[in-house]
Amino acid sequence: MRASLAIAFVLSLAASLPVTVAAQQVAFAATALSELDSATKAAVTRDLGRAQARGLPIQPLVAKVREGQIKRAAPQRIRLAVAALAARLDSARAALGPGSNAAELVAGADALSAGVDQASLRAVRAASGTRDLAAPLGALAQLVASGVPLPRARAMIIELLQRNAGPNEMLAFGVAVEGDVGAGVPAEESALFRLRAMEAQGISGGGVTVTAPRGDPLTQVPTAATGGGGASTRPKRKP
Amino acid sequence: MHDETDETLARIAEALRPLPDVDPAEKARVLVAVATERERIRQHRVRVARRWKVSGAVGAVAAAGLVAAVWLSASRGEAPATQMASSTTAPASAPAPAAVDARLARDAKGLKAVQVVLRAPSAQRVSVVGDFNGWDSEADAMTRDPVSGLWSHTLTLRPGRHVYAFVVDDSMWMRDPRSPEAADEDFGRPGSVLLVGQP
Amino acid sequence: MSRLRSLQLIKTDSTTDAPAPGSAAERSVLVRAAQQGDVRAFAALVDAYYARCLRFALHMLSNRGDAEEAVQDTFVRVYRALPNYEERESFEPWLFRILANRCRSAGARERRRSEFVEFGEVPERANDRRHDEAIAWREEIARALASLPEEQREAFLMRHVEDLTYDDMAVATGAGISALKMRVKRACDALRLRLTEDDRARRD
Repeated sequence: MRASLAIAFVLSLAASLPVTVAAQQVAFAATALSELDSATKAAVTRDLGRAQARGLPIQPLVAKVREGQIKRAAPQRIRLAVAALAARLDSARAALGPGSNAAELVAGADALSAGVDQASLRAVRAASGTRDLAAPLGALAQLVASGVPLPRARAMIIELLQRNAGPNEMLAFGVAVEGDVGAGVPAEESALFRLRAMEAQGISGGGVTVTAPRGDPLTQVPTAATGGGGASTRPKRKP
Repeated sequence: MHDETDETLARIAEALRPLPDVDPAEKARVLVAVATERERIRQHRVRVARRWKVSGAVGAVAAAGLVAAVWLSASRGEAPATQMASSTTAPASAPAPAAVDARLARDAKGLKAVQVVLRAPSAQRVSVVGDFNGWDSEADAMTRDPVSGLWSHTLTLRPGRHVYAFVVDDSMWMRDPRSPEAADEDFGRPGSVLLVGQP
Repeated sequence: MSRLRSLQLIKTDSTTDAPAPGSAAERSVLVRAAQQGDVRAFAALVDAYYARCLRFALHMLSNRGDAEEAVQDTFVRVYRALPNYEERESFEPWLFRILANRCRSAGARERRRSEFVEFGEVPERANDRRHDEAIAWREEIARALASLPEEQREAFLMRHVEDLTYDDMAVATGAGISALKMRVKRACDALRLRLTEDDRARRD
């Protein structure tokens, strides 16, 4: 039986790219599916077709297939993983809006799997205006996965957005916190410290420099040491 | 009579000549089918290569290295895919590889060059896989320093969080033990986290 | 995309001819590059010939799904056979030989139905009588073609639609030139007969 559906979905790769790049990407996608057994391929193809019909990005789903194959996972597990990611992408889009680009949706899906909820995604979208969300969502996911409580992490990211922090600064923030936690620093302490450091150096991402912290609740030392992530907390992530 | 019959024929041909509408999806499908065929041919060649593996215990490793080198050089003209080295019946009790280091360097375009290194002296082939290359074990093959036996490779990564691992001899999934573990709820094979950011 | 659905095959106002893939020299360069593994060159060949191959397959098989599949199989086999293709053979007849083979295999698999397969959706232009007639005419041609024996249909299409020379056709079918001329003649006679009758019947 011809896997016409399987092939049709890769159009999203071919549609707007020059022939060479499209052909290579299309070829790569094709090889991923061709190695599955026929039953799994049929099931995954259906899921991919549905995802594409709903306007979801396909490349992350294909990458998930590849990941499962390279990890020698059982076909049913691959299928479940693809379906789960598709569902997360769907939820991310419901929260972030249909105009979101693929990177934003992937970051949103990642954040959801790290423990961020849809309400937080909506709040971040509302705070960002027209700016791209991939970096802020990535940082949010890292904070939460590292153990910063969700409301606190969300407030920090929104604060940074309101201060026009650029994507690089967002990424650096998340990376710094996750690195600190891996080194044994409690998560919330790390987040507060890193945030203060950014403010002191001046948040300049959007071209607007904000130097003076404005005495808002975020920069105050928490009175109670709530259970932030300890050194032994491993970030829970589903890329 | 003659005119009428010729006219009919001409009308028939005229009706049949127009080219059909072609959906770009159809053409893409053809390219994909060809790519699949290309992959099938490549796999076939690999299987053929494997039939030539050396089975004697003595000199197995050396011979395998020789065969691998010959195979790789013979296929240099091949377009994208890296040719796989032939596997051998070398003893399975190879010492566990230990990751050595990962160093960061600044790149002008905002991308960062990151070197990953793995010690795996008896491995025939090592590659890095991760979110940055779609878990493609052909995309980032590592190169081996013949003197030290260390495998290394430089990745060009965007700032942020990446997950990666090593694939040894196309059969062993190796997490980098010196980097933080990246949990894997989907497949139960944790990778390693690579944080690339502004220093 | 289901194999069962036949889409509209021919645009009503299309007057485009087959796009020439550049000059013969350009074509030969493409083929040689594709032989050496240049994916882009092969993709360019597909671009150049896809529509023509589909046209031929559609007229041979009358079923969009089968036709697409035959064309796809053709290009895969072309790719596979490229190492054996020698330049002294002309590319088009070589391509059409593979395509004709694929169509014959597909035709052998196709079930014979008593009613002709729906050719396409009639556009919603009920007040354009000439337009309706044009569609009806094409449907009649399609039926007439389908009623021909496969070899005659193939020869007719190659000669009068694909404009292959009899030499090229000999390469593409493996048949002798006089046999091919006979097939074309018989096809023309049968089509003329059937269609002038239908034509007269319609006009009355």
